[in-house]
Amino acid sequence: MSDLEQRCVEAGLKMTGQRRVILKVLGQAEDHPSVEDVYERAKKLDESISIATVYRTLGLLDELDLVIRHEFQEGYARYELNWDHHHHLVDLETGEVIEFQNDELERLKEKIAEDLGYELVDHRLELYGKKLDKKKK
Amino acid sequence: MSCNLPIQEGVKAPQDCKCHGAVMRAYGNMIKSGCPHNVALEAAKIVYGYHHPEDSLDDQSLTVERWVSEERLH
Repeated sequence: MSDLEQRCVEAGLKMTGQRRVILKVLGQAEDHPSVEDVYERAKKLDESISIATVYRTLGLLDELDLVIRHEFQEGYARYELNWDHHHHLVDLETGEVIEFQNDELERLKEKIAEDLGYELVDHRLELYGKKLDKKKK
Repeated sequence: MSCNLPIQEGVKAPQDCKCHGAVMRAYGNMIKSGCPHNVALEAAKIVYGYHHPEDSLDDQSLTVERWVSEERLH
């Protein structure tokens, strides 16, 4: 079971094959797909999926706060998964990925954008490092 | 399972490379953590580049893209 499926189960959503497909589509999306987009992509993976199922599933995920619903003034909603906001530190030696959150960093990023005359809308940050040799510390 | 597609020039075979595990772990962990494919791929390339600074950037990209494609195909 993927992390996302686990989160859905923990939120009380029963996992069916069609819901798994819809979650897979959302998990792989690099944009903010509309219901129609999700339906088209899901249909390629499972022809039996109906648009009504996609509407219902996205509605449930929205209620459970597992997706973020965007209204871009297009007359319809677009969706993205509501991942917990975090950043990554990648261990260059092993490939391990450590998730972290840092309030100070969040404030700093907002301030940088503001100082440049912008409202921060989105950002991504990955750190790469190797473990410090404790003897050298 | 191995892939029978021929290896391109400049692309290292997974079995010839000690860093293969670290590169694929970085890619897999980034995907598990919610990153899109292109971001996870970029992280995997940086891990690979750390282990193989002697490779050109093009060869680093080709090798990692090949490894990740094979993994996704199987």
